[in-house]
Amino acid sequence: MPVWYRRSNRTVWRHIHGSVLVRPTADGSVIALTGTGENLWHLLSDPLTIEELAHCLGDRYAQPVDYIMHDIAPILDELVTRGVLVEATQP
Amino acid sequence: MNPGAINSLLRWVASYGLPGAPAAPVLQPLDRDAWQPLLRAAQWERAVPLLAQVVVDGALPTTDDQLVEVLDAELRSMSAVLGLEANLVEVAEQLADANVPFRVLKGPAMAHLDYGDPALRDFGDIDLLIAADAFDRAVNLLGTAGYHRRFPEPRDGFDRRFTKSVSVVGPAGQDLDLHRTLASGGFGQRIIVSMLWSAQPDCFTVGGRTLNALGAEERLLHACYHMVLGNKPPRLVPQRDIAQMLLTRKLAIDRALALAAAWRGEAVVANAVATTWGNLELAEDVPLSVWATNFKPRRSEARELARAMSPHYSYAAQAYDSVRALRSLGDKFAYVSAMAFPRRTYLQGRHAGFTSRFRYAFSEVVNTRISTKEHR
Repeated sequence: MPVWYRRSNRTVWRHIHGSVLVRPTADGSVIALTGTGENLWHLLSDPLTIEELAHCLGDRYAQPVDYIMHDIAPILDELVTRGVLVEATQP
Repeated sequence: MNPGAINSLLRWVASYGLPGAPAAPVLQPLDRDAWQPLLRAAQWERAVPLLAQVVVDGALPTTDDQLVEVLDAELRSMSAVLGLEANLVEVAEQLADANVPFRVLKGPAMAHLDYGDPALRDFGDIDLLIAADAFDRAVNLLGTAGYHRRFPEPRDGFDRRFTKSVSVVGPAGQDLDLHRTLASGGFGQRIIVSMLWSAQPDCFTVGGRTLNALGAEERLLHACYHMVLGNKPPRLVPQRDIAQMLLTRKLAIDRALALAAAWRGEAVVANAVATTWGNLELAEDVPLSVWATNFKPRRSEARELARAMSPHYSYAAQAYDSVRALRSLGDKFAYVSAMAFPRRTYLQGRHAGFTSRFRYAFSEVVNTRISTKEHR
């Protein structure tokens, strides 16, 4: 069953020059997303699966989808663990 | 580069991107002796995000090291802002759960409602307007959540009737100001607080929670009061707020002026707008800047404003102006009684006892009256 990722409502964030700063409201740490992470955050203004994310990023960076999926999977896991993203079984 | 030139450069930074803002005054990177004071001054003024924008846009050329420094300062200031917003969400939930009506004031409201990009507006604390009849409940509620007051209440009921704001500090050192009204002294007492609550609020969303702010015209007036009656000398970010609202938003200026007139605060608004247009050297006039330039305050207003803007405007002088501004004799009596005979905990760290407090208050009131006569 596919998993959709979306931004958690329970975060505050700012896009500054060169990165997106994200802070879960219940957590004291600020996460700085740069490069792929920054793009990923912007793409996730709408819920997307990892395949959909990889297609978008693959187009942008001219890289194979499999390679991108392998690259972003641990980032998505980390952001879910930190409460910045949430997973859903429906978009 | 001398301090005057640094200040001038920072004023340009504060006006950056606004319609009618002056052109870039510097064509090559500043040397270290000029750059470091500029960056420090920008941090003090909470103008780092604007400075970062200026640098990234190439409007102020920098060395690679200077670029790294300003981006690092921006990252630190915005990280702190996110901490404050997380705290805002938490406090908002506590107040909403307890049915305490509130409006978000200043930094977060301005950032989300009045700046195209909220990352351009730095702020250093959270300010909330609390309804007077829920004021004590809000302070007690936050007390149970681990917040403590910076200063005790002079007497029971003083806060909900007369105070401008109560500063509380959270368990993790979070600064939070609970406002009953928008300014201190006579100008603050003349604000008709019920008008702040009867207007339609503007809303914004932070951390999944929709929050109410003051309406746009009330926010503009608050920015004016804060700029003129807050820090001395006036800080640049409130001036940017005023210019930002007047140059980039569609405001009901007649409504704003009607509010200012009802609060007898036209002199404050005129001073704020005229000073902003002069300091930021804005070439594009708007109806309110034209009005402000031509506004002539009554002599009594000008005297009170000069006192309130003085860096020597003491608490006793504020109290003197507050009592004069209160309408009913009952209120005047209650205010003076609370100030003359506060609870003992209120005196701790301020005066040795009631006698020394009386002596201080008497000398300050005499000084205020002398200064009033000298202005005539």
